[in-house]
Amino acid sequence: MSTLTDAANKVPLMFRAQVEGRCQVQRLIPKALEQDAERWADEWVDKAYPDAPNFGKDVQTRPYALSWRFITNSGQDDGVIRPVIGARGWPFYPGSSMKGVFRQAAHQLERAGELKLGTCDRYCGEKLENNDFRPGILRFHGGYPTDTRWTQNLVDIVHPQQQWQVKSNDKEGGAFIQISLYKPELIVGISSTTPLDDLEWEQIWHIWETALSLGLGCRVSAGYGQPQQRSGDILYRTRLKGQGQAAKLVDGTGEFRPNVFRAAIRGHALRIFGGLTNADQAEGLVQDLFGGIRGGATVGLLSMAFLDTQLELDDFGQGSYSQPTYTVEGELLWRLTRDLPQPQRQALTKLIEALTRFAMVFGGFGKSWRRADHRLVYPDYYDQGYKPLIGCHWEWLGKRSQVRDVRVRKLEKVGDFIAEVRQAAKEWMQLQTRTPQLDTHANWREAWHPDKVQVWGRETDGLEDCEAVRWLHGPYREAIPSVGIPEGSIYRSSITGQMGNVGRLWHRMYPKVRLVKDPENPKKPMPLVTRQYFELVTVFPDDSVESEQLLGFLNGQQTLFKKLWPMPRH
Amino acid sequence: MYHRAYGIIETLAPLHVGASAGEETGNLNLIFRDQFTQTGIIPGSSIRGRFRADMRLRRQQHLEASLKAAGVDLPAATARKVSSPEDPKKRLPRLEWLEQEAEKQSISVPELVNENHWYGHHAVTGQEDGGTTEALVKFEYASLVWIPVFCPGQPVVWVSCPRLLRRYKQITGKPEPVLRPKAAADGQPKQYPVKLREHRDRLFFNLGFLDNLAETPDLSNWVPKDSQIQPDNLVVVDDQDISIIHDMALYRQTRTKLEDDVKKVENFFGFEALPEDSILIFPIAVKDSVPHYDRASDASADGSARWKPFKNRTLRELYFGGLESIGCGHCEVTLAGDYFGDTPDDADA
Repeated sequence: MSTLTDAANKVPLMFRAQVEGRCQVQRLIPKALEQDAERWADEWVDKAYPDAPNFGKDVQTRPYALSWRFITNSGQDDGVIRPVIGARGWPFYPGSSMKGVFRQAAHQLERAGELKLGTCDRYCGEKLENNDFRPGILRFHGGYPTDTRWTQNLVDIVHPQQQWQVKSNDKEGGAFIQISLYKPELIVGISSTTPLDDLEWEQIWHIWETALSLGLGCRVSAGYGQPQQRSGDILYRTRLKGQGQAAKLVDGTGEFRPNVFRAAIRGHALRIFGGLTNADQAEGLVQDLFGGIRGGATVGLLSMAFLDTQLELDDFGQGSYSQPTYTVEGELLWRLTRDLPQPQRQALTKLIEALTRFAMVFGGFGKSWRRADHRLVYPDYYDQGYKPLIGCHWEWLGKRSQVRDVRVRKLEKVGDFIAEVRQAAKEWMQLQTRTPQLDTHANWREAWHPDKVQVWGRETDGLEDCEAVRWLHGPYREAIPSVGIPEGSIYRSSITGQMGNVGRLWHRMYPKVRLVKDPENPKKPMPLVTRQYFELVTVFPDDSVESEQLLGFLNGQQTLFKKLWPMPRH
Repeated sequence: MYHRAYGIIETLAPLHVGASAGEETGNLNLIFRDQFTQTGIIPGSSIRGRFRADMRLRRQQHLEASLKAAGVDLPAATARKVSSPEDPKKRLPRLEWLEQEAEKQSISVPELVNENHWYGHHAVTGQEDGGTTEALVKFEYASLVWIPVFCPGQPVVWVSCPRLLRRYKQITGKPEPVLRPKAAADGQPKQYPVKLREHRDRLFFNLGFLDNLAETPDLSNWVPKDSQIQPDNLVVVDDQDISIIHDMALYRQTRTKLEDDVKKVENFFGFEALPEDSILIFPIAVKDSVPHYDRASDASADGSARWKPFKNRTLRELYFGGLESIGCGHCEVTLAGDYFGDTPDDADA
């Protein structure tokens, strides 16, 4: 019917086969001028209607803001996760999904005695004897964004990197693209087949909001679909602030991605368990906690949300070294995704507290988390002109976190703190009927076992009073030719790592927060943030010469740093 | 014999009329289609069922109000089954209980809210012919007039074809000839009547590009005049092409059944539905023993009951088809035509 020339290449991407050369939404092609996903998203939003669909008069609606990204898989295209597209080309949260989580929450509230038995059946329908079915009185109309902000930042890059971060230098996969909504506000609708009074509507919205607290859509355990309000069965919450390198979207702009917390803490869980048992068991334990796909999909016990209270994105560096950066403050929440017996619940709370604190003591979150922020600890570095941005810096925020979460107030406490983290992990293992085996460990680069890792530290007078940062960029020891001591250096070795090769050294400036008496309330301690920092160097030695020399240097030729772990046996 | 009337349906949500979810577990639950154009329909029986259920509710409300006025204690509003006063072990459906009590109190139901009067009496065991009666109001299936197609990179376009427009013309009595794609000359590609808000030289559908568009402003006369959605991008395609374009327009969703206690998929199934903002039409025949309904005077000469399914209005939100609990089937229905005192479309123009 058409006389168009080159018609095949004018077909919109949504109607093309997912094959190379036609359209591959999920693939990130390095250095491509334009990714298929970007074009796909542009074509999508270009002619979608400017005004939102509405639900009609008899539908009750409420708006909900989500704290970060949101994705429901449409299931329409093979291998690509992209939203359901509803009326007028707008993304749609289906009523079926809404009913599903509503029913789950209603059941939960019934079991907890908060709702009268049978309420869920009344609202959502029930199976009767003889295979009959009685419909419920509610209709779930799903949700739409409230305005056109949904058209921004649709392309979302996902990097699986557990293998690479913890175990070995083999990369899995690379980057994948999905299409998700960035911080949308959704308006959702519910209606009833019979008139209900206001009190009952309040109850219905309460059930819905309980459901919402479990997260909407998929990838909820990684921080997607989380409501911008603190709710749900919260095990642990704390406030943090940090700065570092923002993740880069396909178009080069920056985004602070809260899933960095989950990635870091999941990685630390692997390291800790990997130091207490073999690789297989450690992976199983971590999968139970955080979910995974090993031997069949498992939903994790823990789900995470980060509610930012302040977020600024900026740029740092010149020319090709220019990088998007963030400074962020907010609250990190870990929620329990299902009921657990009380002893397990307590052990899990201790464990997730310990792992989060561990992440804070020894590293940071997000890109370049193994390094202290060079902008703070080594500003001279950037005087030399074109230099890449290195490191990040994180601190506990607010009195509550500074009192409860700071476990290392003295250098000597680092060893005890590590023992505490390992103890929390051991207790959890025992409740899972796995026995910690202290003489084994996973054969990974970063398993946390006395044979595999050493922690050294010192107290400094300030952020710039930073010693080890120089080891990363030059010799840590001058040569003394007269006595035959050569220059010592780990610069550009397997210890420091290079592009495409993860190093074996973590360097962290951990703020020293003291507890002092509150003059107004002498019984309660008050945190005092000092000018001092603990400079912590964590080394995972390998069998290289550089590694052996560095350990020799630490052990014998310097006096600044003390060995903190493994603690010398008494 | 009959007053002519018709209903216009505009979908506010996806509309699924067909096999219900669960009957074809693991498959796509398809919608019912007209066998010639392969486009979605709502069977007359579904439309009648909806109207009957609605009026049945009004009858129930009438009985409840009358019994209450007569001082009868009513069972709790949420009780769906009620013990029979004669035999407490026997549980009666609420409506049946109300009917029995009303009979005792000699409370009658006005014809205005008696669904059995208008839509035919349902079968009753033990009566001659099952006690059924002929309906005074008859419904035919609803067919599409316009279906919106969303395609990235082009505006939403409402598509129709001559066959669907012809049915619209038959039902509404529209005098103009049906618009259809025509070849400008022998061997030339066909020209497609379009009415577009912004100029475009081609439209993409899953069967290829239409690039011989003939701007036809009159096309907007084929949109029902009281339509709420006012499509401003219209195109008429050939009868044999509508089915595949319809296929592109359908709302499709994969549904998953999650495990009860964790957010993990147990089962997959999917369904299709007519998308939001579709426009359908269905004919209604009202027996001429029913007096003409004049909206202006709201009275009949002999005082007998008229069929007023939406009371004194002609527009109402109704739910058709399945999957209502997940937001499907929400529609706006407008009643029009001769019986409702309307002149045929454009007849006054």
